[in-house]
Amino acid sequence: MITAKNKKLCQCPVCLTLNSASDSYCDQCHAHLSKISPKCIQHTMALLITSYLLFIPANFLPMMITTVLGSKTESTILGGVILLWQSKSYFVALIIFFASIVIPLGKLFALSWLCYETNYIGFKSRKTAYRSYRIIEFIGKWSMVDIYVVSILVALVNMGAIIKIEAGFAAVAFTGFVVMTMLAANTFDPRLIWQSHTFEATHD
Amino acid sequence: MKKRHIACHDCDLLMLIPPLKHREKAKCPRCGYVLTRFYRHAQTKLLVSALTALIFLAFALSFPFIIFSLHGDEKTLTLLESIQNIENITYILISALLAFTAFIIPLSFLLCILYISLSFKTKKLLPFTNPILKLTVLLKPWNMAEIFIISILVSFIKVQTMAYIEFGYAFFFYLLFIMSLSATFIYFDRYQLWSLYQRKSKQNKEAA
Repeated sequence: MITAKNKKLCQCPVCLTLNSASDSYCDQCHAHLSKISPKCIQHTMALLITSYLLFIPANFLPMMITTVLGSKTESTILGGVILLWQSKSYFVALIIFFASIVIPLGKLFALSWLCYETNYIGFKSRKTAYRSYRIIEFIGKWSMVDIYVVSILVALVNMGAIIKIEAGFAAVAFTGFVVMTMLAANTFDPRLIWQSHTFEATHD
Repeated sequence: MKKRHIACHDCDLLMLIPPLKHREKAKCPRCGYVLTRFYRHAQTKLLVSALTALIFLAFALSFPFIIFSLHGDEKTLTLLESIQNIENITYILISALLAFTAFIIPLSFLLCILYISLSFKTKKLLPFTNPILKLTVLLKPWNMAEIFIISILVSFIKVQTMAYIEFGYAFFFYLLFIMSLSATFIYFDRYQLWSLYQRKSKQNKEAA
C-alpha cells in the first residue's frame, strides 16, 4: 500500500492539496498540516480527561429547576428521563436517555479505547476501530438535544408565579462536555489506525 | 474532470480519482471513506439550495414558532427570542452556543457558499475566495440546525402535558430550511470546489 507518508507527502486536511512532508503549512490554503504521529493522541487524551471530569457535575447537579406555584422541583438528567417515563411519554424518554447518557458515555469509552489501542496494544481489527471512529464522529453532536430542549423550555415556560422553568448548572457542565468530546473526536487522527507500525513507532 | 492524485483523508492511501459520471462517488478502497461525489451542474444546484435555505431561514426568523397558553395566558415565541430569553449571566455560555450552532454558523455557512458560487461564476475570482472557502470547510461540522428541530419536537411533547401548545408558521419554515440546508450539504463537496478553485486561479494567472 502506497500512502502519502511513504512518498514523503502530507495532505492538507482542509483543501486536500498534497504538500511535501517537510512543510508545516499548506501551500494553497495555509492551514496547519498535522503530521501522522502518535503524539497527537495527547491532545485527544487531554480533551477526553476534561470530558470525563465535566460528565460528573453534568449528571449529579440539577439540569432543570421547575417552579410550580411556589414549589421548586430540581431534576437531574436521569431524573428527567425517569419523570418522562413515568408520565408515559416513552418515546421522548428514550430519545433523551440515548442522547444524553448512552451516546456520550459510549463515545467517551470508545475514544478512550481507541487512544489506548494506538498507544499500547496496537489495533486488533483496523476495520472495527475505524468504523467505531466514524460512528463517534457522526453521532457526537446529537448529545446537544438535551441542552437545546432545556433552553427552549426556559424561554417558553416562563409565566411568572404560576410556572417557571430555569436551567441548572448541569446544563453548563453538559454543554462544556459535549463541546469537549466533539473536539476530542476531531483531534483524533484516523490515519493512525491505518498506520502499519503505530504501536512500534511509539516505543522507538 | 482531469485525473489527480489524492491521499485518502482518513487513511492516507494515495490514489488516482478517475473521471466520474453523474451521481457517482469515489470511495477509498482501503477504508471506505467517500472522497468525492460528482453531480451534474453541482455548482448551480449548490447555489440554488443555499439561496432557498437562506430565504426559508429569513421567514423562519420572522414568525413565532411556538404558541403556548396556560389558564388563558397566551405567549408566543420566535426563534430569536428562544436564545435571548436566558436571563441569568451564568447561562450565557449555553445561549451563545445555541445561537452559534443553530443560527450563526448555518447562516454564515450559507453566505460563504453564496460568495464562493458568485466568485466562480464571475470571470475573475473575487478577493478572499481562498480564506472563505477554507472557512466554509471548517464550519461544516459545527452545523447543528437539524438537532435544533428535533429539540423543538421534544420540548413540544414535554410541554404538552402541562399546557396547551401549538406550532407557529416559523416551525414549518424552519423545517423547510433544514431540508434545503441538507440539500446544500449534498452538493457541497470540498474536493470538487477546491479543484474548481485551482483551475480558476490558474486561468486568472495565465490571463494576467
